Amino acid sequence: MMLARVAIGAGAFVLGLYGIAPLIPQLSSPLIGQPTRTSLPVPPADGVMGFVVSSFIPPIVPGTEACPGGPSPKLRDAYLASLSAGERARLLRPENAKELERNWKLTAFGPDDTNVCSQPDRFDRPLLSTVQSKLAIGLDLDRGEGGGCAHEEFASPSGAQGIDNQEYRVMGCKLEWRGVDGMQSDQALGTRQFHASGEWTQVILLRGVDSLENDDQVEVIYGNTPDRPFVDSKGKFLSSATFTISDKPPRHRNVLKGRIANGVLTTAPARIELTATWGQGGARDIRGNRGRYDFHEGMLRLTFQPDGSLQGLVGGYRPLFDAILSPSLGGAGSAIVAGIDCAAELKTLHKYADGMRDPRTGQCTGISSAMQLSAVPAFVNDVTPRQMSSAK
Amino acid sequence: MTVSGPNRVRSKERQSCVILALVATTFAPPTTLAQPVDLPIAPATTTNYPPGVAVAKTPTGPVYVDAKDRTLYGLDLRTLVRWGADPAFYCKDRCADWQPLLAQAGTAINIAFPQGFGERLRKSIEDGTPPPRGPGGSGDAKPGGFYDDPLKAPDWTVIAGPAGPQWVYKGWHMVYVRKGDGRASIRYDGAENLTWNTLKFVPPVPEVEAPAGVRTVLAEGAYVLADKDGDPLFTGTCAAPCAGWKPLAAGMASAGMGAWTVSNQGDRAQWTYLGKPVFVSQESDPGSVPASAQVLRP
Repeated sequence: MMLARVAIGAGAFVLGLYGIAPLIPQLSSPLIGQPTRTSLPVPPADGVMGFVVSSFIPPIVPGTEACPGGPSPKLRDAYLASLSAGERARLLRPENAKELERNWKLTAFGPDDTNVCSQPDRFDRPLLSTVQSKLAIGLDLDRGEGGGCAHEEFASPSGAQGIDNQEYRVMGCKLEWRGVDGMQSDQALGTRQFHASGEWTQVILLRGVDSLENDDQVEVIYGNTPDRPFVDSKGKFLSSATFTISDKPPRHRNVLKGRIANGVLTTAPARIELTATWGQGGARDIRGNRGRYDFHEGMLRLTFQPDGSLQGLVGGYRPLFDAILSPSLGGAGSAIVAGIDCAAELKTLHKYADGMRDPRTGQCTGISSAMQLSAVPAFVNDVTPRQMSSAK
Repeated sequence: MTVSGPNRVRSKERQSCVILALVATTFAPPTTLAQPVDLPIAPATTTNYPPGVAVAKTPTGPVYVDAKDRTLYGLDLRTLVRWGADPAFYCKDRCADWQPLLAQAGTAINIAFPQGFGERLRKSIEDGTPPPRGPGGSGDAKPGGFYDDPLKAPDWTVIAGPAGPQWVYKGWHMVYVRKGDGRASIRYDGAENLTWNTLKFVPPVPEVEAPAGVRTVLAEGAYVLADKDGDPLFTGTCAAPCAGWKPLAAGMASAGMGAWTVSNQGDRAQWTYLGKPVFVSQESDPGSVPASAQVLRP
């Protein structure tokens, strides 16, 4: 089917890029979202380009200095920290291991059959350890206007100021985000399967591209596809496959206004929704079927690469609970198996919320966030008018 | 046009062709039972409703209404786990604008929100006993007709609610009406992030005897026969040009069934219905079939 679609070729043509790509020397990629200093290919004559997102991960600035107190405490750690020094020492003795395990696991449960992950609002837990470094990767979402709630902004490793990524501040010391060595952890690989399977797969379709260096007006379709990417034997996404965008739930299609300056494509702020469904919870909890990346005032900042690929960021303000939806759906299992304290995470997210201010309460209900993405050239068919979902 | 896809067609595989039998298995009915618009709406399975309940038309399709013609809403229990372990009691101290559709006092309770691991897991940790091996409930209807798996419940069941025995639709939707609501209003459909949803009525799927690959789809409130892609089937006599008359291929089938027979008059085998050749529409809209054609209905 895929090959047939290539043959009939109703999608984006990036053959021009492929044609000259071998002539371009292999250069190291610029920093994420930063202008490239190498010459870029000429876009195809019809101005249409397609990409499939091959990597989509929360970025961290590597190193242990971001979290001088070490990783955020797990439930077991938080329980031990709540004890007197003497009691802590007693429970840590090997002969008391079973008692310790029983005790810390019971802290995951509350009255009325509740637990810290299924009903995190019902618990009052200690805050997470947060990122102390001044550096983060992300976007300037408020553009210095501070329309959300007061927050301390980051600088990027390349020196850009005003970076809004409070989700990183909250989550960046969790072991799922940063290993004890300070490097990327489970998050870097944990969701890869979803993008490789067609479940969360994302595609980008550009229209009206006259130049990859500078172009004041580019239409950007950023959406999901049920089509499964081709991968090589190491799981690397291959270029030139064909995909068709779907906006049928749970998938999404976002139409954005973009411009290219110095080889960097940016889009005007708009809501960006992308599939992030979760299977946990089963039929009794339907929230996983509706899971999504929901970026309010969302933006793309993507740098064209000489090899025809894209690298950059998508960012925006996410509803607070979205950041813990997956472990919350996992319920008590998330707490007593993975040691995740959803209630502590939610409490910390509330503290650092900096966007989506509720006009009734004045409280911020969203948190600035960014995802680092890479995309390789692809043939992308848009949704036809007949296919447009009526359910949206 | 709305086309939704109940696919329950009783196929009697009299043909000797195994391929057809295999294809038929791909059209199993959707298992997700839902009223929210972002999921397939399951068809009704009965025309026996609770007392006073009827079906009324709205601009977006038929819905169930109460005796005062107020639209019935379902409180989708599946969206409320964050609130508590038994969402059936979510409205105990809230939902002041909503009135439960109560069953008669004394009506036997025959459904409950399925347990998670929760309390049993906590107790196993406390007691040092092995953890439970699965969520609560066997998933099957119990003697006396109690359903602990809403997926297997009939259309209308009764749950223990905060105000007494309360009707539930399709296992997950505790039934309410909006106080002060107008006749057949759908104003609150999808309210509170799809927690409140109108109870949409999809007619029960007719049982038909048809070749494998033929199914029923709902179009404009009535079922039509369609091919595997959901495109309507029609019959009639074509007056040239016949570009829009795509025969319903019979593949390797050699024998008919009921009103269906195989014609070998053309270039390839074609299904006929009541002796007339059957064609497949090029569009999913039954109204788009050729002017002289007749859409096949069960």
